[in-house]
Amino acid sequence: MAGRSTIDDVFNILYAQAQKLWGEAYAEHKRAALRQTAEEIVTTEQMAIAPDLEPRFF
Amino acid sequence: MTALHTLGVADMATLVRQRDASPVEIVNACLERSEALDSTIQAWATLDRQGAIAAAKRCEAALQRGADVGPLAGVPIGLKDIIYTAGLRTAAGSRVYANFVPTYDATVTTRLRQAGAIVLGKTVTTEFATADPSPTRNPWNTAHTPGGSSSGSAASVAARMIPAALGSQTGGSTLRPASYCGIVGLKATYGRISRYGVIPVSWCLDHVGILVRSVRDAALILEAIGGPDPNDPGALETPIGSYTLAVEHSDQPPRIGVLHEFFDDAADAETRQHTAATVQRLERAGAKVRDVLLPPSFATVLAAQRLIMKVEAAAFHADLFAKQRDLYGPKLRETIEMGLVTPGVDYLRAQRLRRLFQDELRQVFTDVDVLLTPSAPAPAPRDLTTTGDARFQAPWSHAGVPTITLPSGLSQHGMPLGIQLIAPASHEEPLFRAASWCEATLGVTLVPPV
Repeated sequence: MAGRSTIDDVFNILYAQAQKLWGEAYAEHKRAALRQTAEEIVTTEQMAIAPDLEPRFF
Repeated sequence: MTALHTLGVADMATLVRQRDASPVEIVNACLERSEALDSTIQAWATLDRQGAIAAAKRCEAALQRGADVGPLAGVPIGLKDIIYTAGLRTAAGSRVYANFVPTYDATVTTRLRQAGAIVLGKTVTTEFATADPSPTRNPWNTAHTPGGSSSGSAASVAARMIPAALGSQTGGSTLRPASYCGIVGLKATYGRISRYGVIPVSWCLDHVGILVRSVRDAALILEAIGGPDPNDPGALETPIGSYTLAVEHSDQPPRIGVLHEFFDDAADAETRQHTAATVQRLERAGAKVRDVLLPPSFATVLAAQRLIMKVEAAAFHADLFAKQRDLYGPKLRETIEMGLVTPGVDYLRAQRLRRLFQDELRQVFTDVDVLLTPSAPAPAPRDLTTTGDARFQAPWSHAGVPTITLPSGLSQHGMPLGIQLIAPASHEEPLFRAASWCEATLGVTLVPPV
C-alpha cells in the first residue's frame, strides 16, 4: 500500500481488518502472525519496482 | 535375486518388459512391504490393494497379448493425497475433504495410467499441502520429521515401499522431504507438469513434484507426465524434452555456480561443511565451480513468496473457511486468515517482485549450467511438530525454475543430507545432465534402517 513505511503502520491496518472480521479478542490472539505479515509487506516495499513492470501470474 | 520392492522405476520397468517379473508380483511385493512398515511410518492415506492388483492383472494380460503397455508398465506409484483419482478418496489430509471422492483423474494420474504405471494408493499429505504436520515418520529415525508437505510420498519411497511417488511443491514441499528422507526429488519448471486435478495451495506457485531414488527415474517419470495441458491455464505450451537421453549423455562435467551469502548464514555448521566438502569433490572430479552472487531482488523473495501463498490459499479456501473454520488445523487456519487481511495492492506488489526476481535470476546463469546450495539448512529436525524449514527451496518455487535434490551423505546423527541443483526456466535437460553427473560422481545411495 503506497505511503506505508513502518511495520507498526502496516500492523495497525492489518489488526483493524482482523478486528472487523473476527473481533477484538481474536485479533489480539493473532497479534504475532499479523506482525509477521506486516513485516513481510514492509520487506516487499523496500525494493524499488519499475513502473512499467507488470505482474506475470503464469 | 534382488527383492522386487527395492528396485527403482527403470529396473522394474525393464524386468516387466523382458517378462522377468510380472506386474502382479511387483505390486504384491510393494503392498507387502507397505503393509509391514506402515504402522510405524504412516506413509499411506489410502492403500488401494484391490485396485492395484486389478490394474496389475490388466497390465499382465496386455503383456501376454503383446500390446504396447507403456514405458512405466507394471511400476507401482503413490500419489500425494491432493491429486485427484477417480473413485478413490482424496482427502488432502483434511477434515473438510475427509469424504471427498473425485469423479475424474488429475492429468498426471491419467498420464501415469496411460504410461502403464499402477497407482498403489494415496500418500499422506499435510493438511491441504501446507504446514500442519502429518502423522508420517521419517524412516531414518521415527523421532524426526520426514518433512512436508509431501510427507508420505518421501517416506514411502525412502522406505522402499514404492519406487516413485508424486508430491507437490509451493514452497519446499517436494525437495525438502526428499532431502530429509535421503532420496531424489525433482520440481520441474512451473507449468511443465499439469496441475489440473491437483488441489491447490497457490495457483501461481504450485508445482507437481517427483520423488524417486535416482536421477534417471526422475527423468522417466517426467517424460511420462510432463507436457502441455489445455485444462491447466499455467501449463507450458512447449513440448517436453528428451530427459532420459540427457541422463544417458551426462559424461561432461557441468559448470556449477555455488551460492553462499544467505545460504551459508542460514545453514548449520555441519551442513555448511558437508556442502563445501561435496563441492570440492565435484570440482576435483572435473566440474567447473565458481561462486555466484544472488540478484538484489532475492532480498524480497521469501516475504513475497509467503504473501502470495497466503492470499491465494485464502482465495481458494474462502467459502469453505467461512462455513467450516473450526475444521481447519491451526497453521493453515492462520495462513488463510493472514491472506484474508492482506491488502490486494500488497499481493500485487509481491507478484511484480516475483517477476523482477524471475528476470534478474536469468542473468545469474550467464556462465554456469546450474546453481548449487544445500537442499535444506539442516538435516530433518528431531521434532514432529514441524515439517522443517522451507527457506532454501522456496525461492526457486517462487521463480518457477527447475530444481532437484540429490542425497549427498549422512549427518553425525545418521540423518540424510542433500545438495540442491537449480537451473534456468525450461532447462530441465541441462539440469538432468548435471544432476546425473553429480550423482555418478558422488556415488551416494542411502538406505534407511527399516
